[in-house]
Amino acid sequence: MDNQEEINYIKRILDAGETNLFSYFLNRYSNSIYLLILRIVPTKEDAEELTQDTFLKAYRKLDTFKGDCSFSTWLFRIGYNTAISFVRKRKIIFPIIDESVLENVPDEAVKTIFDKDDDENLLQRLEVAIEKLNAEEKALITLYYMEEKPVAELAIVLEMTPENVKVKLFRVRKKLYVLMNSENL
Amino acid sequence: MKQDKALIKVLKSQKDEKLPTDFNARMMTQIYLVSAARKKRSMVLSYILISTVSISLILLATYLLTGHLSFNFSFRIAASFFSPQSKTIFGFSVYIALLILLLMFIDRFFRNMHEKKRMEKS
Repeated sequence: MDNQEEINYIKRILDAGETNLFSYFLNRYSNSIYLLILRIVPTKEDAEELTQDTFLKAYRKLDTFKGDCSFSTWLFRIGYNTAISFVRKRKIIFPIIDESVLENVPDEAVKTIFDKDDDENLLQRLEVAIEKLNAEEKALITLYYMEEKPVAELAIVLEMTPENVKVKLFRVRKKLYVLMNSENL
Repeated sequence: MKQDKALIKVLKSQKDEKLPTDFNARMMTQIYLVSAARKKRSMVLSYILISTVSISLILLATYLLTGHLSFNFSFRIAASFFSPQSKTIFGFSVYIALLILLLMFIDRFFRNMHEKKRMEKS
């Protein structure tokens, strides 16, 4: 189903009161939203509750969806904002890395290390390093690598410019490299 | 940047995590509740709006009739209720009102039936 058909579904929900059609959006997007939120918040229970909040908010605000982006992008933005608000309230602290350290990381080294997908030790270290990223960075890599969202849509979800998204992606890779190679952080 | 195979592998390995199987059903129950509450709220709001407008119109009419047109209510009501001609008019009005009530009841009955059928289908 393409974006236009999804917009038609939304119109039918709003105009004809066909609430049952909302189950289509649940079936299609609930797991993706859950996985994004699960990356950002600490526990599965929190992620499930926030996924629930996301869909309730989406249903309540359905009339504000103008169709200027895809419905999934709009839904991811609600999910992301819900998860970010939760993290801010809980005041979860993430390690901060000095800018100069990131600038000194050679691009080639980052490229080489992330191109190996058969080294179990490296994959484990990478998993640990991802957990140490802040909420925005986790959302960024989850949407880009796992959901395979294009940069333009990421910019809408994260409310930043496409150029900013590219720069952030580049820096996150460097940050992961630093985190993987330092045990103290 | 999508050649970052290690990153893709680690992130996609989490795709096995799934929501409980009854999540969508539970969610739909909540959505129906929100939808029903919204309908009820809009109905109450429309009743309040209609009542406010009606009362305002009655008050405005009373004010205009008594204040600007020197209309005497007690005299008019007595004259119109107790004449033989007014009794016929009153009887006819009651007959029309009852007919309207009956039609409204039939309309409501068929609407409910239609709504039930639609819910069963969905």
